Amino acid sequence: MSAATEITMQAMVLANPSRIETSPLAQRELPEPEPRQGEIRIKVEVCAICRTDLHVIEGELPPRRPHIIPGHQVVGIVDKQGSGSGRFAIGQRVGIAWLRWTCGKCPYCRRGQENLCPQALFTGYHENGGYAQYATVREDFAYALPMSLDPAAAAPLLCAGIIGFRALRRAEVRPGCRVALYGFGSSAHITIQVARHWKCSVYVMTRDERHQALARELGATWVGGATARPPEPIDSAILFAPVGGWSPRPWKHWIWAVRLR
Amino acid sequence: MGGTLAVAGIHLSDIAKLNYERHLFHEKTLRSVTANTRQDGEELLRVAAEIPIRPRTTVFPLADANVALQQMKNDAIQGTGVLSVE
Repeated sequence: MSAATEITMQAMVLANPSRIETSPLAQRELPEPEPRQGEIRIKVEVCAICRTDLHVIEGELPPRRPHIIPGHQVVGIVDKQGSGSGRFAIGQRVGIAWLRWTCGKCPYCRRGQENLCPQALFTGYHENGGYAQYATVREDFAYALPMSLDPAAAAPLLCAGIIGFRALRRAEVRPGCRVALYGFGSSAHITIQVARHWKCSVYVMTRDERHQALARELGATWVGGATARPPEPIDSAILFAPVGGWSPRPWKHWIWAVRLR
Repeated sequence: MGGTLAVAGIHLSDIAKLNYERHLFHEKTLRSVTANTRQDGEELLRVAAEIPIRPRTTVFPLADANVALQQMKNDAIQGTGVLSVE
């Protein structure tokens, strides 16, 4: 074993998936990861949390690797390059996101749908993520981030932001249209900023009063409780709340509210 | 012509029984969102810089990850929770 691998780092490790109220993440001292061929290592500055982390930690997503380090909105400074890596300079700020590897050969990868690659690997799920002092990633799956950006403000973009952006497109949101957002957590509060930039009217359904206040502050046209029905027909809806049933009722309302154009 | 719902999450409790005529006919569209491509990521980062997007964050020390996640589960975080590693 080389000297480098004996250097340790602090990390939050998932021993056994269980409810978050039982504090299933334990602080551990682990060897610093070494970047493999084509990878970079970053010294982590911040890692934003995401509901997907909760699904991993509580076991709603089947475990892929024991003793995983969660976290997939990782911002840090490149501190080591694996062999063959050169896309980023040492000292450059980069982000690591959920998607960390795809095969590049399957029909999905070949037609620009690498998110559907059956062999895709995800950060903080198949391989260790950013709840740690160091993290590695293939350099071609890392994102360049400006040094001028506050790391804590950049991290939420890496999943909450990207998924919300893809959801806007999947919901066929066009400039000026009416958009309903069900749930107003991490992703929705970024998504509304894109929708408002596109001059959309945004209707927000969320039960929490502080979330409602933030939605108003960020330019929502109308804000209601989780079971409220938007006052006007809407064109596109995005469901952020992980609730598919009739009760609570957002699921019911979206489909009534979506108008016949 | 219908309107579109996109489900943004990776996990959802079972979907309620739908009535075809009321809930899907007239070409209403129901879609999922599965992860993202790197192109999505690059485009979002570009748009974020243009707007500029300003996430609201609550910062916790890394060692308090369990607490931060509990607060997120209870809707007690406005915007995004962030673990600070240094």
